Amino acid sequence: MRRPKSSPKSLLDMQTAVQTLILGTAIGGVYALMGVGLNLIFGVMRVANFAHGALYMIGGYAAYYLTLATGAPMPVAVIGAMVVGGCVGYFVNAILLRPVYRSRLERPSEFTLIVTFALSLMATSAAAVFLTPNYRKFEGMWPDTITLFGFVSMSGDRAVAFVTALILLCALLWLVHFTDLGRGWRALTQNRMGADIVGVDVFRLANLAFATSGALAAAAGAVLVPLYLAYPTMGESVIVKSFVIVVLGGLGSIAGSLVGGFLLGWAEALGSVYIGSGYTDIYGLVIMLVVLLFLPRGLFGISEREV
Amino acid sequence: MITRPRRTEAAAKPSGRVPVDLVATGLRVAYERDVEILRGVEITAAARRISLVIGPNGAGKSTFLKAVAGLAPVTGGLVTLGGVDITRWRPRDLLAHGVALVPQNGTLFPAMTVRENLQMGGWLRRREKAWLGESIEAVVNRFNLPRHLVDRRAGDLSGGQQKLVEIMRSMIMTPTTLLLDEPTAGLSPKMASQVYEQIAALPGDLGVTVLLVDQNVRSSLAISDDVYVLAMGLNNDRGTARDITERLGEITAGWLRQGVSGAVKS
Repeated sequence: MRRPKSSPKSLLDMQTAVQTLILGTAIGGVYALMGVGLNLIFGVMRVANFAHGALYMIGGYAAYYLTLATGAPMPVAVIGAMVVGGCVGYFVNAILLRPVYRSRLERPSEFTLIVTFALSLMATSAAAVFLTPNYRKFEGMWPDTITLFGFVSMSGDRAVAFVTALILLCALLWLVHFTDLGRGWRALTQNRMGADIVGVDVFRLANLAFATSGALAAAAGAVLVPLYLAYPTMGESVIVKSFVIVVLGGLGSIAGSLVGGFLLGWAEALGSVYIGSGYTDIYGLVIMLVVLLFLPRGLFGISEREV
Repeated sequence: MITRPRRTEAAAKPSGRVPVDLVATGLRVAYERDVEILRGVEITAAARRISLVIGPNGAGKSTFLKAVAGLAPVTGGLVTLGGVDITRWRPRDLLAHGVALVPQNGTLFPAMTVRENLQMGGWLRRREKAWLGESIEAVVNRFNLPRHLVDRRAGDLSGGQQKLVEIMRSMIMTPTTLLLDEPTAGLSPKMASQVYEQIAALPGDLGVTVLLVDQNVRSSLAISDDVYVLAMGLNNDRGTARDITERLGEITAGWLRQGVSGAVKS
C-alpha cells in the first residue's frame, strides 16, 4: 500500500479500512455467486448439494483447458466453463438424482446427501488422477495491479471476477423474479405441495435449477483461476464457504445468500487485516455461529419449511 | 370405454369440456403391504352436484381423496372421469384434464402476492398471458375478493381468506371437477360459513362437480346433494343429503360404537 508521508495516522487507518472493505466486497461477490447457486437448489429441491464445490473445480479446469486448447480469451473461457458446469449440473440431477423423484423414498434428503457427497469425492479424485495434482493457471484479462482513489490497490483480475459475478447475480435475480421459470422455482421453494397441485413439472424445474446452479459455480471457479489457480481440491474450502453463506443468509432465500456472500467476504478481509491472516477460513464460521445463536433461521430464512 | 390420456400441456385447454361423473370403483389403498387403508370404496361424484364423504376418524376419507388425486398409493380398483381411466394420475395431469385439488393443509405460496398465487394457478397455460389475465380477473370478481387484498402477500391473509384464495387458485384453470379436503378445518364458524357459501355456488354458477371430504358434518351436509359414509375403509352408508341428515344421530352413534370396537380390535 502506498503511504502518503504527511498523512496523519487516523487517515491511514481509514485508508486501510476502506481498502480492506473493497477487497472484501470484491471476493464477496464471487462468494455470493457460489452461495446463491447452492441455495437455489436447496430451496427448489431441499437438496444440500455437496457436489457444488466439484462444479466449481470443474469450471476452473474447463476454463483452463479451453484457453490452453484454443487460445480463447477469458470471457469465452468463462462462458465455455458455464456451459460445461450447466451440463454437468443438469445430468447430476436428471440421471443420478432421478431415483429420488421416481420412488417414494422416506427420507430423500439423506439419499441426495450421500449421492452428492460421493460425487464430490469422486470428482476430486478423478481430477487428481487424470489431470494430475499440479497447479494450473492461465493469464487473466487484466493481470496488472490497479489503483482506486489513489490508495486502494488490487489486481485487475480481482475486479474482473467481481464484475463478472455481479453481472451473473443480476441475471439470476432477473430470472428468479421476472420469468415464469423463476416463479415456478419460488413456488417450489415456498410450498412443494402447492406447486404440485397447480401442475408444476417438478423434475424439469429441478433439472433447470441444477443446470443454473452448476453454471454459476463453474463461472465462479473459472474467474478465480487467474488468482487462485486450478487444482483438484480447489472446491473443498469453497464448499464450506458456500454452506456458511447459505446458513448465514437463510435456507432457501436468494437475497439472503447475496447478503451472506458479501458478509463472508467482509468478515474474511477484516479478520485477516485486524486479527490475523492465518485464520482466514475461521472468520466466516465464527460469524455463522454468532448469527445462528440469535437468528436460528439465518438472516432471511423462510419460515415455512416442508422437508 | 377407457381412452388414453393426451400430453399434459396440450390437454390443458378446455375446448368444449363438459362436466362428467367422477367414479371410483373398488378403490384400494395400502401404504404398507397388508395394511389396507381403503378396502374397496365405491363412490360416484355426479356431474354438477356436490358429493360429500363423511365418516369417523380413521375411516379413510382423506386417503380416499388423496387416492383420487394421485397422492396415495392405489393398489387396486379404478378411478374414471367420464369413462377415461385416471387412476394414479399425478395432480398435474389431472388438472390438465379438468380435475383440481384443494388439499387440507395450506398450499398457498406465502411470500407471493395473491395475484402471483392466482397466476401460479394457471401454470399449465402460463404462456397465454392475455387468457391468464382474464381468467384471474374473472375469478377475483366471481369470489368478490376485496381489491386491496389482491396485491397483499398471501401469507399475511387470515386463515379463511387464505382458504378462499386457494379455492380461487384452483378455479383459474376452469376445472370441471373440484376435490376439496376439509376446507374449513381450523376456521372460525363465521369464516367457515363464508367458505361453504362459495362452495355451494360452484355447481350452479360454474358448472363444477364437487367432491367434498369433511369432518364438519352438519355444515357440509347443508350444502351437499349426495352423501357417502365411510367406515374402516369401506362404504358404510349412502343417501341424499336430506336422507342422511334425518338419520344423522343414528349414524354418528354407530361411529362411536365402531370406534370403541375398532380400538379393542387393534
